[in-house]
Amino acid sequence: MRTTLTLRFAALAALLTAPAVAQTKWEPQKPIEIIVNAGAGGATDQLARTIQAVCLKHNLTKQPFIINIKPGAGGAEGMLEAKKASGDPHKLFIGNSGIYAIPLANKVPFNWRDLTPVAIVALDEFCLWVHGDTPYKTAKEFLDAVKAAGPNKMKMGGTAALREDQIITALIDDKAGTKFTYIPYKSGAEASVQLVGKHIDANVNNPSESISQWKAGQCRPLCIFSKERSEYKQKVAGDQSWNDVPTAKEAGYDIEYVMLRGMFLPGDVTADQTAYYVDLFKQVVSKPEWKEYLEKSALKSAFIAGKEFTDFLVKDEARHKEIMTKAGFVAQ
Amino acid sequence: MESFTYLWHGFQTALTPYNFGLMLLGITLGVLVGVLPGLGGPNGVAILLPLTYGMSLLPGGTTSAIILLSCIYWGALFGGAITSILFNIPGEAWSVATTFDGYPMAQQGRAGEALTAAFTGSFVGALFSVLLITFLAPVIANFALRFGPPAFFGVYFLTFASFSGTSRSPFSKTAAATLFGFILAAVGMDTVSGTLRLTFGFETMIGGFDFLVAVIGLFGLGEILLSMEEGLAFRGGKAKLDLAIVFKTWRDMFRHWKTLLQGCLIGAWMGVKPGGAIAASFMAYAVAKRTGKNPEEFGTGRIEGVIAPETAAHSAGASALLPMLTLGIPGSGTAAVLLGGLMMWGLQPGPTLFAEQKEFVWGLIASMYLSNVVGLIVVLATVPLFAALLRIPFAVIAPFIIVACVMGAYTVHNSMFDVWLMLIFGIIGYLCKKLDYPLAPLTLALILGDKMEDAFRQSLLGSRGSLLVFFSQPLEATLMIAGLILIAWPLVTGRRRKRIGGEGDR
Amino acid sequence: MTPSHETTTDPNRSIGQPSMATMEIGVAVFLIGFGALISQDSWKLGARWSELRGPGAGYFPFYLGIALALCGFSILIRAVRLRPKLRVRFIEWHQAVPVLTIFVPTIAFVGSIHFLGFYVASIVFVACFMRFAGRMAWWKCLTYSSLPVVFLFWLFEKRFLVPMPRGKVEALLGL
Repeated sequence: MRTTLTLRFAALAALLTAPAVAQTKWEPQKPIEIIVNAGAGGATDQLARTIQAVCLKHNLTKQPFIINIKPGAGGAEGMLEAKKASGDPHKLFIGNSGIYAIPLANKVPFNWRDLTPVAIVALDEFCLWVHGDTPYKTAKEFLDAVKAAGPNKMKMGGTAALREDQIITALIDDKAGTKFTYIPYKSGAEASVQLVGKHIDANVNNPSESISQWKAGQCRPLCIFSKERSEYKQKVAGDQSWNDVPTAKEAGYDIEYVMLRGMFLPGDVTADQTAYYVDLFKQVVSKPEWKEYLEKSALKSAFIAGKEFTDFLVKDEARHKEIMTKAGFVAQ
Repeated sequence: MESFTYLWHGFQTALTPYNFGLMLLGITLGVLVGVLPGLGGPNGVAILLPLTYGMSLLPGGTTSAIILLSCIYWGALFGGAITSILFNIPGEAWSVATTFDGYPMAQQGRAGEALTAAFTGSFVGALFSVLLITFLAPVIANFALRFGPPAFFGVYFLTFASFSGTSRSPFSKTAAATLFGFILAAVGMDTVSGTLRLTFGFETMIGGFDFLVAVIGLFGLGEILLSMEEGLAFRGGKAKLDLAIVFKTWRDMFRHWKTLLQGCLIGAWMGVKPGGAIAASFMAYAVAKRTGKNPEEFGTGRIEGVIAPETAAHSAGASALLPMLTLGIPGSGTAAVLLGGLMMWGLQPGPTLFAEQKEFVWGLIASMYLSNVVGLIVVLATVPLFAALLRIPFAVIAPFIIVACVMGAYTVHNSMFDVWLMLIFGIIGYLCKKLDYPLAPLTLALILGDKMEDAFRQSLLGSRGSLLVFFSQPLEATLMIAGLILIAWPLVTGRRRKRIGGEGDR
Repeated sequence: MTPSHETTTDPNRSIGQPSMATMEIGVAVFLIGFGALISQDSWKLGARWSELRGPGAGYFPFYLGIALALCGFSILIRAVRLRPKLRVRFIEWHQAVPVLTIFVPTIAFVGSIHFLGFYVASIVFVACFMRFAGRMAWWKCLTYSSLPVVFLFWLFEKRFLVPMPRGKVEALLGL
């Protein structure tokens, strides 16, 4: 779009204003926009704002961040926005497993390969939560009770339909022989309140979505759907820490599910530009404020970039396809 | 009693000269973002959030940051009413009902009166709820937990029911407008099934229609087109410009204490559950109209028509703070951003917040009291200034209103498609007014339609398809039966009126 | 919200200008068609109970569409029945001209944003409207239009960092 004339002007201006900067390293020239494809105040928004705050405090970028909330269509709107921004290195997109689940469940013309993967900055975990007043002490006790009650008698709440929460519910139904009625809500916070109000029997919220209710004794995690127990040993509720929550495998169910929290650039950006952001996020995740944020939200710390990240995406996508096809979630 | 010590302490901190200066700054900034096109509540507060973040890092700065943020929040809420009244452009969903009588008042040269009534109503409503929070916090927080999907459906049903029968348009047209609003609300991703619907294959439609885009077109642009029929004359030119109007309006408002009280109660009750402020403003308007002496005069510039929705919306806005703090569920877009700000400072909302962060919670409540008072004084002082806007020649102000509509529509999702959509809604709004299709039920359905549908289907999923779920619990049953009575009422009284006078077909 | 067609009392009809009845009938037919389209699309989507997803995604819209079409029929019948009473023109010529003088430039304004960017297009639109509709002096038009827009540019782009569509002029000025 830009004419050669404008390019020349820009080059001239750059030459005049910043002669000392070598031309090897790319740096953002204008505010960096972070596309958040979920509601304001939600987990993705918090992640974006933490990145913003850490960069602000440690002066990691010369340009400010703008957070662009695009919650429409369960996140699909934000995904398409990122896809449309092809070639623009001043836009970042925060991806979660919606990047495969949404295109599979609907015919949305999107594939994560339309974007440039930068880095995974954290992994989000899921727990099986029940109300604090219920007698169940282990996942087995609860799921046996669900099985005994018969199909469609117990209600599982979760965020949105045909997404991670419903996928985990399908995995539970498959491994435990239960049959939950899945009720989708707009957000994890809503699902959490509905559980406390006893309008549903269980949910599979992220730790951060229910931590406060756990502290107050209103709900309780029975197991965590992760390969190993959480790394956080600090007491959270009473004498319990995240580390005390058994994995689903320990409880006798071979169910594993973690969700990526990854940063993406739009497609068609240069290797220099990607490298700049990989380096930036490497710095972000090493700061104490970031670690504090991870612990507070009980996110699994992780930093995966480059080819490893692409491999992760390919594998994760194939797994989603398999589970969703089996559960009948894939659009015909 | 311990909490009052904290509250008292909060007052003391807030009243230092530095913090008092911050309050004035916050209110002014808030009003500015509330008035500017395309910033509105959520966007505006989000933009100003980093400002408070830097501040909270200073020693003892958290309280100052809270004060600044809550002042911005109130300022934005006050500011939203200004554009609704002056230009018929609602900035937030709950300002829609304010336009019904506020804009006609401005056209009659009574903008100062309408603005004063709106601001004072907001102040009274908010104060009522903050008082309620101060004394009854635990009770209210627990009440919010009782709302499952059937109860939510009951609340929305009651809101629609209170509006039924209040329209002066023919029934078939009112019904058509309502249905049209519901259909528009259904477009896009469906929460319950997770599938896309009614997009007809257009990629740009998957996000659905944002009510703000529709409302800017239907009300703002539609009104410009309609007033152009009379040429370039503008009807608000005679607006009075002195502060005496404030005191005169206050005198008048005493006579409407009943409307104020209704607004406070409806707002406080509805605000406890998420999204309550929108339903509250519409419901309070409808109730004021039904219980008023001259219901047919509503919509032509009755002051109660401004007082009721503003009082209810702000009463709800303040009481929504409680579920936000204790349940982590924000009642509105603006509150959601506020919540994001609190979390950025390391405060985890939830049931334990009141126990763990006493100083913060009571500091916030104290600053809510004070910023509300300071806010009222600041905005009342600006009444003549804003009323003066209407004195600008129409040939100058009209293109700027259109520029504002375009900006407002664009910034909702940063998309040009929304701007074109806004233009189409402008034509629809114009046609609706010409052909006597009511806009109020259309917007109400557009704003609440998908929430109501979600609640309905979530209920049916839970009950395996049985409709009895809406009557199985006392709370749900009360809501539903009250709604049914409201719907049946005009059928009974309307038939009688028809027998006596007969409204006659046009 | 006063129904304005009652105030227009001129019973004469001229060719080429739609009457109230024609408009009523036109909108009613549109509603019937629109309702039918919505119902048809919703039916394809699944308007019945499904084991996996409960009431299907098309359940609500399907009935909404049918009800809308029924309302359309009722409005149509009423309009046809009341046709003699509705002979009033939908809009008078002297009213239509000013409506178009603002609507057509608005469309041109929005269309030109794609090329000129929001700010330049706004200045052009506001200035031209003041000049041609308000018949104000050129220098006034240009001052009144550019000063507020430059202020908005400063506020939104520089202070609040809210990006509006930009054109080539901003780039040329290096802003």
